[in-house]
Amino acid sequence: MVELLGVRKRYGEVVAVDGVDLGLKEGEFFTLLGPSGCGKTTTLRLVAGFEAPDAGEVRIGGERVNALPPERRPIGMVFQNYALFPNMTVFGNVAFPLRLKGLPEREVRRKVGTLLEMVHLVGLEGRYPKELSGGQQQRVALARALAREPKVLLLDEPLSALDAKIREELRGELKRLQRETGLTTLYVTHDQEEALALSDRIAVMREGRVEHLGTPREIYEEPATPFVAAFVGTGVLVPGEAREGLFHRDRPWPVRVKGEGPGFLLLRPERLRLEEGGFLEGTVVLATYLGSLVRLEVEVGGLVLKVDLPPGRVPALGQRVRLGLPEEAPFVREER
Amino acid sequence: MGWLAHGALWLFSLLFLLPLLWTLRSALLPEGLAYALPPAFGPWTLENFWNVLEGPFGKAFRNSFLVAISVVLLGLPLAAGLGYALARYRVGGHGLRFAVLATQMLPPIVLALPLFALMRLFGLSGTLWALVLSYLAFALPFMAWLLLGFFQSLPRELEEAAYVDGATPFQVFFRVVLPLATPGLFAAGILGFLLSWNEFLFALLLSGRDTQTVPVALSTFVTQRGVLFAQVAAGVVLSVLPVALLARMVDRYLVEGLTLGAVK
Repeated sequence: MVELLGVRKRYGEVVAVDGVDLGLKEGEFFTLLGPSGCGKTTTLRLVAGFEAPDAGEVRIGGERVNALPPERRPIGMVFQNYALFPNMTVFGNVAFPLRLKGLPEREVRRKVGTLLEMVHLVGLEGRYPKELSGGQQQRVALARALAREPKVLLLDEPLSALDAKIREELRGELKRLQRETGLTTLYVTHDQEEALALSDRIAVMREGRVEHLGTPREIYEEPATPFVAAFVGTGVLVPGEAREGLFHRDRPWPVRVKGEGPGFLLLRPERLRLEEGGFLEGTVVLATYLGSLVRLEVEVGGLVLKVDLPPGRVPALGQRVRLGLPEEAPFVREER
Repeated sequence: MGWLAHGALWLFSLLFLLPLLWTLRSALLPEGLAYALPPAFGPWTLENFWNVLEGPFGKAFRNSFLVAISVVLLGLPLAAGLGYALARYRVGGHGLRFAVLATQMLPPIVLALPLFALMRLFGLSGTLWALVLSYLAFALPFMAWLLLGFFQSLPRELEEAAYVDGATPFQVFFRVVLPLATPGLFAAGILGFLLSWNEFLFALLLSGRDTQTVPVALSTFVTQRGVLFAQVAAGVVLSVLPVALLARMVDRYLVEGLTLGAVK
């Protein structure tokens, strides 16, 4: 549905997007994930038509759209700061794209009604954006983006301005809406948890390039590079070597890994456990209470490993503990 | 502390208002007492106002209004277009921006003779059009500059959202940008109106007997018998009234427009 073929974009000396190749399947929820300045928003803006690529092709629905202005692309977009027209009511905002299309007023009313029902905003038609909460404003923005019946929905960090509780609530709703409408969706975020929860596939970006493209499970469990391993989820990269199917660091560790050669063993906190006779021995240096669990930091031979424990019997700071390793863990090759 | 602040505010307000209040006092006194020493505070009369309105002042008032409103009506749409083009499309680059600003740097007297010659050449000398066109030359860049700052302060995402919604650049300008720029338009309009309403030099040079504006008409109270201070004062009060009323009606927009546009 959306294809980017060798797309490049630079601003002066800065290369914002450096030869990106991506393909979004129809009905897919696709996320561009990465830290600030990695080029994810520029990539989204290239699809929207707010930026023109210096090289490469952008295709929507098989059609090359490089020279097509945003208003002629079959897209809907939700902005980070909602971008609702402050001088229009909720009804006016959602009706705006429909009126531009020249639909008769009765049809406009019917469609706006359906859209507001879809985003649970019936009864708020007459309110102005400043009279709405952040979550409600974002729902209006979503309804407006869907009004044109776009082929592709673009979402630029739509939840980042909301507080945690509403963010989680809207996240579920976004997923539901996307499933219901079957709309191809390109989502931009720096929040890896959001990306993992929502996406069918994720492209992790760094310095204008796609570092890893895969399903959330692949990204989390088999990160392609140390950067992806460190950026997605919590974990510690232990430098060493993969040899004959086992991880080696001074001595062989009882952890099965895929691949050969120097690299990093990725140890996630939920995969480590406190265990009598565990393979590693270390000292507890920090315990952080996180509500549903306690995250322990244990120093082991110059490394600080993180271990998640149920909140209950937690070892005291300075206590010596033994850590049991997972039978199998992701191994990330060193970057060349 | 509160009464101290209030006292200071009253004091400053009085300092600014004193010349106006003094003018009002002079306008309400008989001619002989307007500038008598020690100052007189009565008997009050409206005679000066009737005298002023019976003379050419009424016509001058109408001329001033026609000129000022024409400048605003013709200039504001053009200034909005120019300001938006400069703000968003960077038309003409820094050169054009400087040219717009440069028009405000020229002392009006430098342009007085060329404008006089030009208006004579086109047969417009002595007509209201001569004044409208001359004032537009100053007011248009001024209004455009004011609006430029205002357009730049509008979030770009609003325009982008409108594009994604299917709006063409013209629809974005007319249906999104202009309604949001209403305070800026009011501010620019009122300042453009004031610029034209108060102008004296070009009005003196370019207007004829029937096309005199208020400032020129006021200057006719300097007679061979001396300056008719009380009538000048009455004329000043009358000329301030419409502008003060206009500003009062839209002061909310005016303050918002001036501050918002000026921030960036």
